[in-house]
Amino acid sequence: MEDALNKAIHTMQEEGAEFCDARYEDRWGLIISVSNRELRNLSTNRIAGVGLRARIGGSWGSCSGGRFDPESLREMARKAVRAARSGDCPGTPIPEQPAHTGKFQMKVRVPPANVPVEEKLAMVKDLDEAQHISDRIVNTNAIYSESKRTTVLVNSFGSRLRWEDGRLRLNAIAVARENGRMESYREGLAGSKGMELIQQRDLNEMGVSAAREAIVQLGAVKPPSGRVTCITDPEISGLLAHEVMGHASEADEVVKRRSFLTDRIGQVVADEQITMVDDGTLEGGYGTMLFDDEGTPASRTVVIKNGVYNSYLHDLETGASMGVPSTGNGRHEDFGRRVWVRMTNTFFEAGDWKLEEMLEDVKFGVLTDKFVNGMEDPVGGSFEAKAHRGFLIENGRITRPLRAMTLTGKALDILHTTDAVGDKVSMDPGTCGKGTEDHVPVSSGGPYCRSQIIIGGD
Amino acid sequence: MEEVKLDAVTLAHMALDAAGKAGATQAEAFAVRSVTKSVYVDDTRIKICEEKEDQGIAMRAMKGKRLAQVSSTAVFENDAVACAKVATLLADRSPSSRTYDRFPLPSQATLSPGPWDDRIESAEAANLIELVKATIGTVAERGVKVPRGVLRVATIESTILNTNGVDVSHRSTLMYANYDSMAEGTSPGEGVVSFNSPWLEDYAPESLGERLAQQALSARDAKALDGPVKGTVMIAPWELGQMLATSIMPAVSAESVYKKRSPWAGMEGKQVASEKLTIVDDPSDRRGLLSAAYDDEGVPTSVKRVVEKGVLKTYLYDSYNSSIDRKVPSGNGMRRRPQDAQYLFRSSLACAPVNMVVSPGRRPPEEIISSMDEGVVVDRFAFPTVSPYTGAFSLEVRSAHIVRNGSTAGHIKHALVTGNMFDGLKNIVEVGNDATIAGDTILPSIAFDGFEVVGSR
Repeated sequence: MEDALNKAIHTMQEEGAEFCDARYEDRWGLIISVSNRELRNLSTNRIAGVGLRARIGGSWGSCSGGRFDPESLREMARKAVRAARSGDCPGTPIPEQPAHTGKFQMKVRVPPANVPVEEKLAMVKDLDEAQHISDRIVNTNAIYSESKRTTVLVNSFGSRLRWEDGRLRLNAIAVARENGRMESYREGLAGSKGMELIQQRDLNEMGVSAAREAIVQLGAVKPPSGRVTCITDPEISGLLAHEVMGHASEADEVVKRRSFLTDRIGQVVADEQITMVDDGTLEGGYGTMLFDDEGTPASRTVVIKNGVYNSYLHDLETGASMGVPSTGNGRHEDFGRRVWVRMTNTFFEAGDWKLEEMLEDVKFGVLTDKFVNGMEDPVGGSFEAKAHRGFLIENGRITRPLRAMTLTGKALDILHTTDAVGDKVSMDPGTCGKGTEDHVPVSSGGPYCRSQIIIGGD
Repeated sequence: MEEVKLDAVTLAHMALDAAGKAGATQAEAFAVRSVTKSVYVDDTRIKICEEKEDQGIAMRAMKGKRLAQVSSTAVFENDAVACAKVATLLADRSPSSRTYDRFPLPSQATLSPGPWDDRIESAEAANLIELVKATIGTVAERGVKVPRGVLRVATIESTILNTNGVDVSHRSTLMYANYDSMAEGTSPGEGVVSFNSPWLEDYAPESLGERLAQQALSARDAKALDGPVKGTVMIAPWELGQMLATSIMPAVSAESVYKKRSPWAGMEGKQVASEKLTIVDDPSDRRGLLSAAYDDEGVPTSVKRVVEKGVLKTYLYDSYNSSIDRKVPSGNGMRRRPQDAQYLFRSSLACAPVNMVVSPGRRPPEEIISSMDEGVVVDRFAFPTVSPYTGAFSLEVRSAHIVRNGSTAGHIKHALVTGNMFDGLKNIVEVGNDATIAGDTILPSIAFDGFEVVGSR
C-alpha cells in the first residue's frame, strides 16, 4: 500500500502540488446493544479507502474513494490537483517537515480481538440486566462499541507511516418513570485501551448505579435561574475547557481572526489557579493518538498556564501561517473528510481543593453532574453547556437533586471568578464536531471548579 | 489475476447468494453507491474542492430468530462474500429475538420514486464554486465576512434485496449548505444559515447571502438581555426543526414506544398538541430529501397523518418494531440521512420518519409578529436540542429580537429560553406559512406561549 500511495504522491507532485499527502485507512467496528433484555444490535462495520490531498497556494484539492488500484489512484491524484487549482486562498507554503517513518501500534494489555464475541455479548446482557432494580425502571440500555483503525500515510516530505489504534466504549442508560414523569441517567467508560478498561469496573455496580440515579432524578426539582455559585463537576469543567477555550484555541480560527483568543498569547485570561492542556499523548484517553492525521506525532500543549494564555493548537497549515511547528492537532473524521485543527484530550489541571472544602463555603449554589452536550462560540466566547442534572447547595450542604440545566455566560468572565479548583482530574469521552459535522473522538475533563455562572432550566 | 471492480447491484446479488450458501435462513442486502462533491469556504475564499465516491453493503443475516448485521466498503466480489459469511457467523452467536422472525415481504409501491435532479448529478466543481462565490460575494458586499462554509451535492443509488423476494432500487439527490458569517467590531456578530434541498434550482445564493449578512449585523448590534421577557416566543424553522427532531420524532417512533420511553406512549387517538398542529410523514413530497417509494428495508412508504389537529393518529413502524405488536410496517425503516451521503451502508436501521411535514398556517412570520404584544423571535440558538424523555429544554440564544406592540424593539443575544416542548405544543399561538426544508423535516416558524426568556447577565 505504501508504494501505491507513493506513486499517487509522485503523480500529484508532477501535476503541480506544492504539498500533498495520501492516506489509506481501514476502520472496523463492533457494536452490541441490549435494551429491555432484548438484543437490538449485533453488528460489525468497516470502511476502507484512500484519501488524497494536494495543496496549491493556500487551497486544497481532495479526492477519496474505496477503489485503490493503480489506475484509480492515478486518476484520483490528478483530480485532487485539478481541484486544488480551483481554489483562490492565499497561503504560506508549508515548510519542510521531518520525515517520519516506521510501523507503530497503540499498546493495550488485553486486545479486544482476544476476547470472543460471546463473552462481550454476555457482558452487555449482564449490564442491561443489572439495571432492572425496580418497577420504576421502564427502559434499560447497555451499549458496547469497539473500533480499530489501520492508517498508512505517505506525504511529499518523505514520511511513510503505518500505525494502528483503537478505542472501546461501554454505556449503561436507564430510564425511570413514575406518575407520568420520566428521567434518565447514564454511567459509562471509554478510552483508547483494551478490555482491561472494562475488566477494572464492577459492571453490576455500574448498571445498578445508572438505574438508582435515574430513580433519584424522579424527585428532582427545577433548578434556580440566574447567576449563582456553581461547582462544576469534572464533565462540565471539561466542557468549558473544550467548547469555549479549546475551540477558540484552534489556530485556524485565530488565523482568520474569528477567535476571541486572537492576539491573547501572554495575556492573563483566567484566575492563576487555572492551567489548561490539550494532550494527545494522555495514556488511555479517548482522544489519544500516536500521530495526527497529517503524520505529526501527538503532543501535549499547555494552552493556559497559571491563568496566562500560552499557546494555540496547530496543524501543518496553521503552523506555517503563524511560523510555529504543528502541535499534532490536524485530524479528520475519516479518510474521506477534511483535515483541520481539532482537539484531543482537553482539560484543566488539578488545584488543591477538596470537594468538601468547596461546598463548605457555599451558602446557596449548585453542584452539576454530567454533561448532555455543549456548543462552541469562538467568536463571542460564550459558554453553553447542558448539565444532565445538579444538586442544590444550601449552607454548605447538598440538599436536593435538580433537573437538567443549562450553564451560560462569557467564558473569560467565568474563569476570572473561579476561586477554587479541585485536587482530582477525571476525563470523559465524547465526539466533537466542528460546526455541524466532522466528528472526531476526544475527551475532556478537569477537576471540580467553583465559579459564578448563569444557569437556567425547566 | 486482477480482481474485477463491480457495481453495487451485482455485489448485492452476490452477497445474498453467499449468505444462503453460508447457512443463513434469511438474508437482506442493502447496497449503496454515492458520489459527493463539496466546496469549502475559509475566510471568504474557496479553500477546498473535494470529490469522493463510496460504495458498500449492509448485510443482515438471520438464522431462525437470530439476527446480525455486517457492513463494509465493497468494491470486489470478495468484499460482498465476506460480508455475507461474517453476518451469518455472527447471527449464529446472537440470542433469539422474542418476536422478529422475518425480513419484509415484497409489496408494490403506491407512491412515486423520490426526487432526482439531473443538474445535481452533472454538477462540476466549477458550477458549485460559482454558486458559492455568488453567496459569499453578496455577504462581502455588506461588509461581512464568511469565516467558513460548505456547499455539497451528492447522488445516492441504493438497492435492497432480500431472500423473501424484495428487490427494489432507489436513487436520490441532495444539496446541503452551511455558512457562518461574521460582522467585525468590538463585539463581533455571527450568523449561521443552512440550506437543504434535493433540487439545485432551490439554491438562491443572493437571498442566502443577504440572510447571512443580516444575521451577523443584527448579532453585532445585539445587546445581552438583562431581565426576563414575557409573552410569545416564535422560533425560526431550522432551530425548531432540530428541537422537533429530538422530541416529536423519537416520541412517534415505535422503537421509543415499545421501549416505554416515549412521552406519547399510550396516547394514540388522544390530544397531544394544539389543534393548530398537523404533522404528516409524507414520502411523496418532492421537497423531501429522503422522499422515496420504499424505505431502506424495501417496504413501500405511505403518507401518514401522524398528528392531526393536535390528535396523535399513529406511530411509525419499521419491520422489527412492527413484529412486536403484530402491526404492519409503515415504511419507516431508515438508513439514509438528509445532509450527508457518505457510508450510508454503515448506518444501522432506525425507526424514523421519512419526511416529516408540519402543515403551514396562513400568515407569514412578519404578520404574526405584528400581532404580538410582547415576545421574542429566535433566529438562532447555540444548540437547539430537547430532552426526548421529558421535553425539557433550556437553550442559549445566539440571535433573536424582542417584539413590543407588533414591532421589533431591539436585537438580543446571550439569553436563555427555557420550557418544555411537549407542553409548548399544546400552547401554540400560531403556525407560520414560511415552510422551510430543514433536514428531514419541512416546517414553518411557530409561535408558542408558555416558554420563559431570561437574561444571562
